[in-house]
Amino acid sequence: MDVLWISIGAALAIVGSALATAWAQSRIGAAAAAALAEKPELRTTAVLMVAIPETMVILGFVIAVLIVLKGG
Amino acid sequence: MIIPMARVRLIGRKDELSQALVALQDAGTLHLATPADDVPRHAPSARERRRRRDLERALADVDGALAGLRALDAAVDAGGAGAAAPAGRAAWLAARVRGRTTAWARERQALTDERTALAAFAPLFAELEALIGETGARRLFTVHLLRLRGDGATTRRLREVLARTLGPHELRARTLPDGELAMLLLAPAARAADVERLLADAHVESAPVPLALGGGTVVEALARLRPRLAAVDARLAAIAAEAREVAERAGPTLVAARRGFHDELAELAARALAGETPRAFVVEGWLPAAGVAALTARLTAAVPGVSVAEVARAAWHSDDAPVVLRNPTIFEPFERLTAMLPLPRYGSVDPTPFVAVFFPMLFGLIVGDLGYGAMLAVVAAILWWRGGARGWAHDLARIAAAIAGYTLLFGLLFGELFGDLGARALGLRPLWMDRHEGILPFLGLAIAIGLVHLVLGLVTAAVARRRHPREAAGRGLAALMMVLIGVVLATLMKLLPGALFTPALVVLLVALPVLVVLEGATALLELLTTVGHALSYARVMALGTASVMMAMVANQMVGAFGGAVIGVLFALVFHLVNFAIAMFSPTIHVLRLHYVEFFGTFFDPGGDPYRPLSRWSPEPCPEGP
Repeated sequence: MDVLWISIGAALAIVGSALATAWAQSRIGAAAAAALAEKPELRTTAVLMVAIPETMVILGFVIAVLIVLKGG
Repeated sequence: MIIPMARVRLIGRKDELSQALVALQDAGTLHLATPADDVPRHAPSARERRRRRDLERALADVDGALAGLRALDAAVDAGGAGAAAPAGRAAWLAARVRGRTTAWARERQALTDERTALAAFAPLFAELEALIGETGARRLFTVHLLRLRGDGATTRRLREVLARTLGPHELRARTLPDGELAMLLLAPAARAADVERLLADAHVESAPVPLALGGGTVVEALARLRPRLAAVDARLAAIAAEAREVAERAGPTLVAARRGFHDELAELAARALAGETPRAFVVEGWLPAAGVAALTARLTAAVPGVSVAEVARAAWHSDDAPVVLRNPTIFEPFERLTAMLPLPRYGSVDPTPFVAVFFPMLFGLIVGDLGYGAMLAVVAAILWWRGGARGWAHDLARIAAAIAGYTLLFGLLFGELFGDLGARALGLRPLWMDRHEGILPFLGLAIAIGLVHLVLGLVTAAVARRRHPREAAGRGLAALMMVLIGVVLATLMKLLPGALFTPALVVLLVALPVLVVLEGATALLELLTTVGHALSYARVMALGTASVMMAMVANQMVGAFGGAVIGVLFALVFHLVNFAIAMFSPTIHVLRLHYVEFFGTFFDPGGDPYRPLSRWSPEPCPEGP
């Protein structure tokens, strides 16, 4: 039973953060594409802006690893 | 690093201003600035304004003429020395050449269109010629050129109707470039009226003979097609020859004129930045401090009456000075990465050396595999071989070589060769850490590197702001607090003796209000952000673990798909995919760690690029003298 809950907890940590990252990147990506169409010189800023929400899923991954390692 | 700049002031007789500006253009080292507020600015005269307008118009003509010649495949060597001509004659010549190239371009376009239209009919006319040759007697036949839009069924129906009504006839079809179907109908002359009626009933229109062939009947047009095509080709060749002749004759003059007009416009713009009194002029500007003596010697030799004096450092603001970056050769390629952000302000810190050290290191830490490192080294060698002595590819090759070196080094330390293939096939063992087994130590290492990186940034900021003691103390204290936070975390994780916990915590609590006093309440928020940034380095562990796991999955494909050959192929493809991901993902994330987390501690953007007054060149001016 513990293994089940540990797995579900780790999965939720990834799922929640991945969905949040995906939602944020979809909004930022669309805005960045629109901005780049008018100002191509903003490409670096655009790449950075798109990469910023990835922190969430990476931290989610770290939490999932901690749950699995500490719980298991 | 940002090289030290000096501000110099030139003072001379007003009538020597032009001479001084020409000497400055020749020297090509002074970035002009407006003189101090108490010096009246030069007001452009009506003559100067008119001259500027004339030059701009002449320059537009020269550019138009050269572009026109280029469009006619008669390009002029833009970097050639060129023969100088009086400005007025050069402007007249430019306007004339521009007019002729415009007319030629228009005529060439019309001829090309006509040639395309005639070429579309040529195969059909060739068939007509053959058909008439076969029948032998032109007068006994009526010829129709038809144009039909529709599918195969339409053509089939027309053929059936013609066969039923006309009896013996010839019908040949060809699809034109615009998708329409051109048809040639050859019928006995006695049935001409029937043919006309039949086509009218079937709503099939006769295709007009191309206008270029002068109208008339198809048979008449046939006689004129070949001569017209030859005439078009001859005229196109003549235009090309004339354009080449003009390019050869006028090209050098135009090239020289372009350079001269640009230089004169730059001089007029520089004149507008000068200050002047009824008898004297003042010009101020920036140049690398090491070049002051050379400029002074050059100017006083060219214009003996001009005095050059360095403005005291206390009399100018850092924010006004332009920025020139100069780094050791080994760091230079990494300027490409920092150039993606705005230039740092003068007086702040050039982040290039930090990027040159930490970018390849963090990349290597993430990928850390002997196999992928070797592949990267091959990529670097190819880029080096194909990239020439300079340019993007050459710099990319040097960056790739650096990251390949670190990837190989960490691959050796982690004992990874295409994931666990080295361990399984060659008995390779980690010299330092097994990333597959030691995820938590790897996480600790990533965050520790983040702490060191950020502390380095805060210390750099403290040193850079040494002229502002309060700010420098604030940054230094923030750095100390980050170290203490690291110590507290390390004692909690039993990596350091527990005895350090209490002293570190006490110092941390004492430092907190001091930081607020030095930098205000927002310093607390900044400190929390910096701690968050240190945690952001966990991505090094996340990406590294993902990379090694994917490599291991690729290795497990051997034997998982029945046949060994298929398994090996799948494994190879998966390793290639992992390698491709390993090129892009770590690059973006490591750049982001630099741009967002690390630069946030000390980077001060908004520097003004160094653009010295110099002779115009078709190539972009290199940064720096």
